[in-house]
Amino acid sequence: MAGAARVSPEEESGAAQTAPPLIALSRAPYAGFTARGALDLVMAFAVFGQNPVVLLCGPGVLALTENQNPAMIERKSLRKVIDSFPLYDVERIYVCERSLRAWGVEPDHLPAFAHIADAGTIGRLRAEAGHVVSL
Amino acid sequence: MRFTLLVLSPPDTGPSNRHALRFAEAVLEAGHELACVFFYDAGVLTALTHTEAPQEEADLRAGWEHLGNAAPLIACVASAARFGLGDVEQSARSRSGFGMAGLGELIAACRRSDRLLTFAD
Repeated sequence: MAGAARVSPEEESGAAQTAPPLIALSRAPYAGFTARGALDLVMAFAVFGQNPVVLLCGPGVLALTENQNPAMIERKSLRKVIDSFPLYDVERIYVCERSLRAWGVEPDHLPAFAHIADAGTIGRLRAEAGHVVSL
Repeated sequence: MRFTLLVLSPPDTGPSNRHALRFAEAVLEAGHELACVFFYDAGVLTALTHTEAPQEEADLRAGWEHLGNAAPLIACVASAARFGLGDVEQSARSRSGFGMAGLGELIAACRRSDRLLTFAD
């Protein structure tokens, strides 16, 4: 993501380290490799039994586009990675409602396990998380 | 209070790397602890040697190297491979003071930290 520094202490969490972490992905899926890195982080937290919660917002919701063809740019589909999350027991996936509209992603095309989240829900997710990792 | 910092950006592309370094220094000066500074994605380029800071500007890499005497600096092994640093602990392309580990190290640091802060451009 270009622009101002995303130093985000305001998004950081409190001391409840035992609560599940929230991984908030707001990067476009194929702009660099940070979005893929975020998904790798989700799977790592899951493998280590941390029950991560995932929030997709901003251009990050484009990773859920149903008919994407990243092979054309010689990349692998991040949608397929996300579709595999239940295999890692990652089933708490939230998608920002406003971002879906802004980026033109059809709610009907989301994975069945994804939840659409309004601003209030997103605020609650951030408040409840042990840590918030914003990528 | 114990902090973990996640650094996603190198010193050369924006202000976040500098913000992270100055924050880390402030944490220690204030008597708090750094569980870990974890460099991920392009952030691992912080460990590069043979770089030259612009004249009369701060050498952030040297600053990190100095901080490594007081806090664990960990470069992600997968990111280091992708960005050509190889084995950070062995490579002539990497500065002293940096260790190398997988994401498990970040997760363990998170578990023993009160705060996690992410720095990215």
